[in-house]
Amino acid sequence: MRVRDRLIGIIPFLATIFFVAGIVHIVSVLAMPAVAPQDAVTRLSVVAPQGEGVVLLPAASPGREIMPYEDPSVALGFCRFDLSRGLYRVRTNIDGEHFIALSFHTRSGRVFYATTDRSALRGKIDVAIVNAAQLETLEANDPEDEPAPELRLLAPASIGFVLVRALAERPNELPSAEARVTAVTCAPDRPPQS
Amino acid sequence: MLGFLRGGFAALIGIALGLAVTFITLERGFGFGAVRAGPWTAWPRVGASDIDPYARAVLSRTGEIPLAAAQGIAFYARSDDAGIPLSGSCDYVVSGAVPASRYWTLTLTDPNGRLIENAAHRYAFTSAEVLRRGDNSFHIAVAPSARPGNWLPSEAAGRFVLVLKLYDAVASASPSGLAGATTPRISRGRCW
Repeated sequence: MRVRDRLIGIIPFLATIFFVAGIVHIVSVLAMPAVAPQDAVTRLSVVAPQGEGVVLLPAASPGREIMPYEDPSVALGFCRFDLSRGLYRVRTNIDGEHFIALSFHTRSGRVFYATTDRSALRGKIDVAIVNAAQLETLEANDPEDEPAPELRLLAPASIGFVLVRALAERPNELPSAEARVTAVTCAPDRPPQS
Repeated sequence: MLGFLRGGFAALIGIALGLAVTFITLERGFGFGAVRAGPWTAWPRVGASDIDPYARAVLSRTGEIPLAAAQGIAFYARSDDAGIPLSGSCDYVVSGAVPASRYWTLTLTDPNGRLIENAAHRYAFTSAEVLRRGDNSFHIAVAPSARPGNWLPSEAAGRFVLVLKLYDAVASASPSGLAGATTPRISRGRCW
């Protein structure tokens, strides 16, 4: 009888442990993107603390990687955008032969859009990253009966980055892959005033 | 007073347990949504916009930027076909076919995703440069010392990871198309 009483007495104690453990676990997982010191954006910022336009990352080699599991056959670059300073245009020409890929990320690294040269139209990738107000302004200025000249991408947050990947099929082609990364133009742009 | 102490003690244990569970789950990789094909594992949802909170937490800790689902997919192998962890004390042969894609690359890294220095400056093979046999199949030797043909150097006695990245992969947009995909075999040879 006493054993049973003691077992019953320990139940609230165990329940408290599991309740607290569950909450701590969920909160710590959800909070990780906000508190992690080494996330991708922090690492990218170390390479280029300031500046607009595309920033080429150093080629991946032992001890010089910016991020884990980088592909040494891929030239990497990135552009930062901040829509509070106007919509952001990302453009590049496609040669139809070499792999180039753009991915659009929020500050936390989540992908909100991605494309490769395969899905480019008319030999170029032409993207405008916009917020809702900028999209309205753009659409108000669109000529009638004409498709929009660029792909308009409604960003889920006003700050983020675009990652550019260009594949070098052979190690000696890395410089030309890097040239294809730096050929991407990224720039903020004020919508035409009407 | 005793009850208060017991409550506080339970809360402390709970906090420690909760943090331990978080640490263990994040160390184990991207958690849910893994797709296995032979010795290879991929996490297709990591590069999608519906990424789950665990995968997001892992990415924010490691700093990795995964391939977006529309661009391709990465497969990781930490063990061979028999399930034995990959080790620099053994020879391996990676051979066979790769799921349909425009390009693929095979990279060797340490368990934390860092490239391993080697005298040959060879860290990866791409589908364009790998030497193939008459029937278009390939055969990559993974070993700490030089091998004829395609040789990917590993570090003697160290653990390593093989990363297979498929660019413009046909199946990357649909995880169901990846399960059971034809992936290269990783067969272990001699150990010493």
